[in-house]
Amino acid sequence: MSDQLFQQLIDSIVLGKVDEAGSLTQKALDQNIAAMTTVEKALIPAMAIVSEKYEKKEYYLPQMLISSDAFYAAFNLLKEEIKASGVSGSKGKIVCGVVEGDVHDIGKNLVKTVLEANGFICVDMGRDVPVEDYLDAVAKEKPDFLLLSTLMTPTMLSMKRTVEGLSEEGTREGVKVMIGGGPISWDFAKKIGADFYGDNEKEALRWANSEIGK
Amino acid sequence: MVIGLLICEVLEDEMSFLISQDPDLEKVTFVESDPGVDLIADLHRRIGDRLTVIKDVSEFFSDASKSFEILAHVLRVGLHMDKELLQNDVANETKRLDEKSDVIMLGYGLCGNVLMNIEELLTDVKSPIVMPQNDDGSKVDDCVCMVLGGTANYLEHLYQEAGTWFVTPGWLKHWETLLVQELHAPDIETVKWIFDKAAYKRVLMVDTGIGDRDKFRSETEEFAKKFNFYIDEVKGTLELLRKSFDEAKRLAASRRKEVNQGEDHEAFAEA
Repeated sequence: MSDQLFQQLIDSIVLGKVDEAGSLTQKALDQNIAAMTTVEKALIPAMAIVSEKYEKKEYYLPQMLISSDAFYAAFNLLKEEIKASGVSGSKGKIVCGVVEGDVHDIGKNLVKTVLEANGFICVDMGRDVPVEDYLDAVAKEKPDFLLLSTLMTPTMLSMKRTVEGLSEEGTREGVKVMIGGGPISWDFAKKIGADFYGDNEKEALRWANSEIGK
Repeated sequence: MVIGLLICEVLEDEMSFLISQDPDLEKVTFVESDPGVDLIADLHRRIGDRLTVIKDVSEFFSDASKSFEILAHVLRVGLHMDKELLQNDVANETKRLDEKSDVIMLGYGLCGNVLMNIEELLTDVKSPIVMPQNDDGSKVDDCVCMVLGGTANYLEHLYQEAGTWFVTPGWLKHWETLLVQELHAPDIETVKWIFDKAAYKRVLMVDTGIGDRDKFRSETEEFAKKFNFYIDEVKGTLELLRKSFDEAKRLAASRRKEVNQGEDHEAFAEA
């Protein structure tokens, strides 16, 4: 019975049916299915399908966005229970955001979606975030990872300044810096002293998982 | 001397103006292409019979009686939607122009860093390659950065309002196709929805002083109304493009001088 419900929920997220994703998740809660089970059996597989479709160019930005909305319609209903169960954040804490001067947060949101779905807790700083705000957040939240994103080339400099700022404040050692976005590359990551560059949400998840517990 | 000019369609108004203003220019040969139609028409209006149109680069032979010629080719706007396509098209067309040119000017920026290392794909090109640069010698970011006068100015506007959509007359000419295609959106409503999500708030008119200002203003207003943006205006500049063009001319002249000196030495040795 629950398998059928999970499949319906997967379909609703993949097809971007936001209301349906919400009502099916509520149905799962009403049937006393553990929130984390719904995440594992429906939300994670759904986002994996969405990512795959994007890679194969079956999905483009609008489809990704609407699926992400459907994901959150489901995930937000499950959040409280997950938090109470202590599962959320069990993998680690991430501070994430788009750098100053840039509002393009779609990529960052997709990475955040997948990381949250997989047990990381994300402190989302939003977009157009000044360097100082990241430095304060790292000092306050003491995250395992700092994830910075930008879609534009002129704003890339902000990533370099953030890494330098962490070193100056003495907080660099305690946090792993992940960067991403259209113009970013491994070369750039190495140049500014970041720990990781990822081309997509799957790579980010794989790397974050591999770093936990090191 | 021949300057091979490869530009993005979005810069056609700016380049047409710059080319036509050059006092030394004797001839422009244009390789016909769909995206080049407007530029060819505009150039014809500006420079008259100094313009020649050919179907393919292979038809071009430099005119010995002319001291300064341009061989131009326009690539369609929006190639940056596909990184590989942009990189390959720019590299392939540069190689074709190289066969007939002394120097090549690329009317492109980093374009999302896709062209950051374009030289690596052009190691067999003999002509020096010139691209628009910031004052510190770094490549400019993109077509917006070019007309704003460099990365520092670009950032200043982004720090004022990160949710800024920059427009030039060239960009406005193609906006509908670009946005719907670029975002793979089925319609303008979807583009609006994405713009709302991205929190764009303002449209910034970058006025380089060329073209029909009233038309530019009314098209910007129409665009702003469609997406509920407020409008700001900033004075743009053609200086970075002009500098790049002048540098291409300087290099072409010095290459031509070297070739001529080489020929003189050979003739002397034969005599």
